[in-house]
Amino acid sequence: MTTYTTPQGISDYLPNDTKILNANIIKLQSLFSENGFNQIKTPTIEFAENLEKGLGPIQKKHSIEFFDPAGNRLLLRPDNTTPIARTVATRMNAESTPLKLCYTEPIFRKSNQNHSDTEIFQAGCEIFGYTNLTSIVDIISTCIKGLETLNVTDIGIDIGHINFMKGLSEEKKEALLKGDYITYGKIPERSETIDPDSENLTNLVANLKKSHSTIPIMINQGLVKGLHYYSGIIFEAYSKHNRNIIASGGQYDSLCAQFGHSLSAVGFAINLNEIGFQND
Amino acid sequence: MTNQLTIAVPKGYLLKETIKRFEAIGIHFPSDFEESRRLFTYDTSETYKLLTVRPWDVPAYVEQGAADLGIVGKDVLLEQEPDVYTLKDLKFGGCKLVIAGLKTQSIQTLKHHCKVVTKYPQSTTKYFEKIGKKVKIIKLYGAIELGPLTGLSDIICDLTATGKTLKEHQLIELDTVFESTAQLIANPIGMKVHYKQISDINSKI
Repeated sequence: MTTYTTPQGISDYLPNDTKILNANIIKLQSLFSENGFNQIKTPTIEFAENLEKGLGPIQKKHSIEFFDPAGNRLLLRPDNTTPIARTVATRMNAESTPLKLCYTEPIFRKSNQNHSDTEIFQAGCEIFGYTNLTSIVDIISTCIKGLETLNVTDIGIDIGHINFMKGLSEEKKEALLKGDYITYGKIPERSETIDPDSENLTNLVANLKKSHSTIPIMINQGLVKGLHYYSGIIFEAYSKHNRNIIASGGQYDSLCAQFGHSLSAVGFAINLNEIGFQND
Repeated sequence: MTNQLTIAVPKGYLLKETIKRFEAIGIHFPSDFEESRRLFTYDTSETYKLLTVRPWDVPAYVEQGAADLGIVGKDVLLEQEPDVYTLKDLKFGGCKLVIAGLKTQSIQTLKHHCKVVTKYPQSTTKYFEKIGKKVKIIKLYGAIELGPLTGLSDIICDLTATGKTLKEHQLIELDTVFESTAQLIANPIGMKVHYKQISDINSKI
C-alpha cells in the first residue's frame, strides 16, 4: 500500500489535535492580552543574514535554509524572538517603552535522530525597553500563568545567568553548556539562595515567590544554556510530568542593537508541542 | 511514587558492579536479581527502581526520561552523543576502542579508501577524519574480528578490554581511538526534579 507521508519531524494535525492546539493558543492570547501584551506577526521566511545576527552556531546548524530565485539565502524562522527584535528595532523604534508584545507562531528546526519535531508551535511574550526587575518578574510570572492556564501541573522554574560562565576556561564553559559535569568538575549548585554574581537573583526569586508561592523556583548554576543572544538572566520551566523543557526565556539586551537600535529586552516562549495535544 | 528514582543499567559486568556500589552506600537491591530473568527490580526501601537494558539502549532511556539515571560506558556516549548530563566517571568497566589489523599493517601505511568494519561508525569516522584518511566504513553488530580474516575489511575498529580476542584472531592493536569507563548519566529534567537525591548519590558512589 502506498502512503503519502510528511517529512521527518513534520506532522498533520487531525481535528482532535487541532482543536486542542487552537484552544490552547486562544487561552494564551487572551491571558497575554489581559497582561498588556499586544500581538505581533512576523514572516515565516526571512533573509538568512538577518536572522543569523541572533543565532548561535547550534541554531545555525538546525535552521532550514534555502535560496530564492536571485540566489539570496533564506531561512524558515528557527526562533520568534530574533524576527520580532528585527521588527521592533527597524519599524517600531519610535514607540514608547516598555513595549509589550506577544506571538503565537510556529518555528522550524531540523529534526535530529531522536525524531524531535521540525515544526514547533510557540507562544511567547517580549518586553522591549524595560528598565528594572519588575519587567523580568512580569515575564516569568506571565510564563507561569500561561502554563497554569494550559493546566500544566507540578511546574518548576530554574533561573540561571550568563555570568555563571564568567571566568571559566573555554574547556569548562563548553563542558557546562554540554552538561558534561565530569569535565566541569562537579554538579552545578542549585538552591533558592545561591547568588554568585550578586545579580539580584535572590531578589527576583523572592519577588516571584510572592505570587507563586507553591512553585519551586531555584537558582541553578548550571543553567547557562540557551540561545546565542541571551545577555543576563535565563530561565527554564519544566513539569514533573514532562521530560523536556516546556518553556524558556531570558534577557537579551544586545539583540536589538544588532539591527541598528539599541534596546533592552526580555522574553519567554512556551513550546506548545511539549504541552501535548491529548489533554482537555 | 513521586520521589521514586529510576536507574537504567546494562546487564552483565556493569550491573554487578553497580549493585555492589549501591550496596556500599546503603541502597540494597535483591541479591538474586542478576541471575533472574526479570528486567527490573526495586531496592528494599522501594525508592529506587533498577532497569536492566542493552548497553546501547541506556542513553535512550535516560534521554527520553524513562530513567532518571543511567550507568553506561563512555564508548556508547561518545558514539551516540545523547542529550544527557554526564555526572561522574565511575572508573570501572575499563576498556578501549582500538584500530586493529594484521601484523603487517600500520596506521601510516593504510591506504585511502581501505575498508573498516565496526560497531562504532561515528567514532570511527571521527578518528579517520582527524588523521586525514578517507576510509570506507561497514557497520556490523558483532564478531567484528572476522573482518580482516574473511576479506570483508582491511582493518577493524572495536572495543577491547584484555586484547585476548584480538590475539586469537591474529590481530594487533594499531592505535587507540579512546579509553572508556562506566559513567553516571542523568536526564536533565530528572536532575531538576530529584536534584538532592541525585547529588547525594553522585557524591557518595
